[in-house]
Amino acid sequence: MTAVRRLLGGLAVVWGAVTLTFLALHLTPGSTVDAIVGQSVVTPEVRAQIVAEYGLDQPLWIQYLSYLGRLVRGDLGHSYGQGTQVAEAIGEQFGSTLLLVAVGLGLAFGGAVLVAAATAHRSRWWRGSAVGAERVSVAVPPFWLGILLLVAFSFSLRWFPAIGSDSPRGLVLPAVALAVAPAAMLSQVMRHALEKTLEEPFVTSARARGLTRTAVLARHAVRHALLPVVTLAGWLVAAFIGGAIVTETVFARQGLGRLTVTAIEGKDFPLVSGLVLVSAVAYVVVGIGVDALYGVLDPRLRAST
Amino acid sequence: MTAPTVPVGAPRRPVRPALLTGVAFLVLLAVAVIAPRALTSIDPTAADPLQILQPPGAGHWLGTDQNGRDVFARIVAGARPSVLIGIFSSALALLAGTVLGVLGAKGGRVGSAIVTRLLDIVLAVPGLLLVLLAVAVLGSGTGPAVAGLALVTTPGYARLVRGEVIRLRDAEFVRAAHGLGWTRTQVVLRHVVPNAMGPVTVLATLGIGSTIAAAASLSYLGLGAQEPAAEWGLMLSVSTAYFSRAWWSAVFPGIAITATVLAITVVGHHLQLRFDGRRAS
Amino acid sequence: MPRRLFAAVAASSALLLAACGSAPGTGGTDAGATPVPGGTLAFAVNRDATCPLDPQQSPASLTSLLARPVVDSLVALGPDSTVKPWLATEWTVSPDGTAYTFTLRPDVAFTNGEKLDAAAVKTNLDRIVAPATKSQAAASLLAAYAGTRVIDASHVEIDLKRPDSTLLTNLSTPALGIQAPGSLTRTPAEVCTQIVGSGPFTAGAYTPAKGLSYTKNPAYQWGPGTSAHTGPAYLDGITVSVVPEDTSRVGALSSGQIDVASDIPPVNVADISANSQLALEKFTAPGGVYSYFPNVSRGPFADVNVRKAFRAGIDWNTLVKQLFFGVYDAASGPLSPTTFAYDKQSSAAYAYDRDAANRLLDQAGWTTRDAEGFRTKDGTRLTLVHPFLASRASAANATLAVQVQAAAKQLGIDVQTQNVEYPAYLAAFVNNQYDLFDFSWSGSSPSVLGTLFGSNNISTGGKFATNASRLADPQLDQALSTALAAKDPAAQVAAYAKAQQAVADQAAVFPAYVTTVAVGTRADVHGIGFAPDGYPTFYDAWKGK
Repeated sequence: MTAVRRLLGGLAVVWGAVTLTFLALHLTPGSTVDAIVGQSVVTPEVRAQIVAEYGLDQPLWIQYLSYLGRLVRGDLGHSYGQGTQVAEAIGEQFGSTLLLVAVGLGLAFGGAVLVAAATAHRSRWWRGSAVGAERVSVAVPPFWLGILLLVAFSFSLRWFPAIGSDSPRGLVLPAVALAVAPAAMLSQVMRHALEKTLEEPFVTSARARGLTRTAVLARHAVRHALLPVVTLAGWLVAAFIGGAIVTETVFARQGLGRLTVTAIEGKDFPLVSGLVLVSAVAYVVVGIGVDALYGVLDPRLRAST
Repeated sequence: MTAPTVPVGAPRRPVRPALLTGVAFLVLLAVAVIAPRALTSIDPTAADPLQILQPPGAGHWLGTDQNGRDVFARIVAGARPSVLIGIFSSALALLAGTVLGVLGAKGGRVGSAIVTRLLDIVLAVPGLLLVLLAVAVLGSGTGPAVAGLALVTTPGYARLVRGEVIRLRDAEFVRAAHGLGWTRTQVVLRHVVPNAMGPVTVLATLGIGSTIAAAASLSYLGLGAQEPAAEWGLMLSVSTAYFSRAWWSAVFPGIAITATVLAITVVGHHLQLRFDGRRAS
Repeated sequence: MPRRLFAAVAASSALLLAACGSAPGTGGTDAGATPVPGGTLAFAVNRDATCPLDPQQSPASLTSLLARPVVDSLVALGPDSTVKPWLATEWTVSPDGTAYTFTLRPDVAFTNGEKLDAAAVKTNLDRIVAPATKSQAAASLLAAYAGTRVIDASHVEIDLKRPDSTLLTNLSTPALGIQAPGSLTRTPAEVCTQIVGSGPFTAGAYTPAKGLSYTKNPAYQWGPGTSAHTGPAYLDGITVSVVPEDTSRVGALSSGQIDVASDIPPVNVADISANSQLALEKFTAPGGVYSYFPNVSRGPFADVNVRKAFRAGIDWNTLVKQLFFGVYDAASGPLSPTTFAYDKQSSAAYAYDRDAANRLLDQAGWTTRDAEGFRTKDGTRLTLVHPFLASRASAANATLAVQVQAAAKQLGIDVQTQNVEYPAYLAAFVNNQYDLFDFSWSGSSPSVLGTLFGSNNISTGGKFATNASRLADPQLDQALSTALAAKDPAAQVAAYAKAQQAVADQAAVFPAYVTTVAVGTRADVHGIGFAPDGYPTFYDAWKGK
């Protein structure tokens, strides 16, 4: 029952995003055909074809319905800037961004767990410097961090390749640049949760049974600390997709982020809409996945359903 | 871009030096915004072909850029657009968020459902992408940037206001006002909203920081400010190409952004703690 | 502004593209060293093109670069503008100059197995001028084309409507190169991303933002008469990647991730030259230099004195020397000094003289100043609108725009640099809504003067044409047509000198710098050549071990 409701909620969000892009297309100053064509130059025949395809000579609500209809059939439209179908253009770049985001997420989680576990309830100086470092990390603009990393580790030290490649080495710097700010944010949240957990009676009794701090952390506390983090998943998805736009540009990597910038610069509206839709779907899917994960992580929740 | 508010474990004693540094930097920033001439008399757009890429030194504290313009003067001048974009978009988001939040809390079942869905939709699109969408529709420039950033940050305020209003619904003074025969609107406007504004203002303070960083990203991508304007993101974007010859013009503007966001965060968190403390007591 | 920016609209206009001849192997800096065959060359370019591989459709110079390894031409153009045999072993021109008869090499095969014959030549040339091809530049190189007559398999006659002494030069370009006839039956869009020719390499399909790879054609025996060697190419293959960010491209070159990088920004040239593991190949392109053009048809620049003041009052020489780190040469005239018939005499007109500039402005009536220090006349400020395409400008050209604005301010002129997006940029140009416009237009013949200043090349009625200054000077037009009709080179030189003098007298251009192509290579890369219009060629290239 809840699963059905969640799915419906997700659909509503996607539908809303679709409506948003539809509105944006029609709010764009100038003719709608121009907005669809963007900066490409097309023949009058192609323009006529666009008018027919989008039903631009029809009332707005019919255009809207046919727009929805095409999307339901999986037709995201044609990108005149890329000279290919939107779905194809996005599909080509999807893997690269997914890989970057996945590695970035892994780094962010791993780093946050380590830092939080190492600093929770530790000396004021130690903890304080971690908090300071985290605040600086959140404040540093990711594109600038990317430039600095690139200059230091790629151009000067030559440890990593300078231009985008999907080789593991080429992935390191972009993933780090992408992960630093979310990692710092996560570790603040995690430390807070860890510190609360460490004050729980069961931890005290575990310590009394002679378990070391590390063992307690590893066996009990970290799982508890992950719970509040999981609720941040939606924000994380947004942060990573937004971050990818900038990171891919700085590191000259293939991917959806780079495609987004190209699409905006070229006023390639069908492509921009497609990208908005893809990220909305990603958000919804992650949301549903996180809910499921939450149940697994928290036995109490599992028992009650 | 709507960073979640992080619960910071209340430190036993607030770290004073950080706070003082933060406040001092913000004062300096305010001077740069209001009266840049007080900090430097150099014209930030004065290009000089004979002075290009000069290293930091006596004549130019932070060196010169690829056009022979003084980096320090440009950083000072760049404070104004950055801070104003941050303030305007946060104010706009605050306004929209308050209206939506109150509507969500007091608008009945239908109103609440609509507002919740609207916010979900906006949250479902990554912030920067949404700002870029605004730029695609409205064209690049300050106006679209402010509108886009406001749109992105609105849900955060709306949710907070909604929560606060619901919390206050049961507060004694609100019930008393109802008892006195005030209309619902009067109660909301005179009592509920002003009382809900405290935590929202704190969030707005923090929001200004992240909006400044976001606006800089936009300029970096070439979709914000344009030459010869002095704007931090733009300065970084154009000076990167000269990094091998002149690290200074690609480093100091970055420090300016980081320091601004950091100072706002530190001061904002302090306000948050004080506020929470006051409310708890 | 590079030529590619105009690509989009060029189709709709009979664009008189300057002859941009090209042939591999006109460089060859490594005499002495013995070439080593084998290896794959990793090459990074700085941009994408809409139609990256078919120069019969696309006018982008990137397309010429990418097509050249695959497509051979009937003739080749040497660095000294001499025409050498290539697919054609010899040719004759009819006395009236309207019929060119070529003898084709008998042994040439396209990489799809087809044989080169007269019919293949006809198929290509007919395709270029066919409206369905929507050629954006190649067709204008065949403006005088009447038709092709197949005499027999190895003899072909190109007929012209009127004499055109630039035909051979034009035929040497990839735009008029001969592609495999069978491959041209595909849709134009398909040809854009994959072409088949008889060249030293075969090309894979092009992926936007990614690039493509080439493989050696082992059967190649018909190299151009301009190249340093004959037989198959030395390299086994070439991979081309697209890396728009200058710092990344240069970084990838210095770390050895790639072998060759195009478009090295001036700021990085010194570092590359100083690095013993790297080498820099510089080529000064002939044709039009990078210039600012005044719009003589409206506003303050309608007054020749204001134009002369703008030319004399800005120290272009110093700007170029400083901003481009001494890598580019300052220009002193509309043509690059390496262009045939470049006129040194008229270059005196381009000297810096700030006092003279101020005097000229006073004479022109801009005597009063407003609160901001700008000159005014009858209460109107001396304002010049300069549309600028910041998103596509190189870092160096962007600094030049900033400096020009600042230098003009010193003269009391308010240059309003308008950072606009491409459609608005183009619209401003076509619809005559600008006072100042900047770009370069290279080409291997002085006929670029006609492209840039001929009164028949002014945009009218929303149609794009290349005369940015909108100068319509009968004396200049006369000199240009005399030059085109003249058969004797000395007569051509004299006529072009007259034309350059007219441009100087009219102050119809503010030349900035000589377009210079800088390609960075690893030190073990040898034999990179340059086509006459300035892109690198790879037929003679090899990698040391």
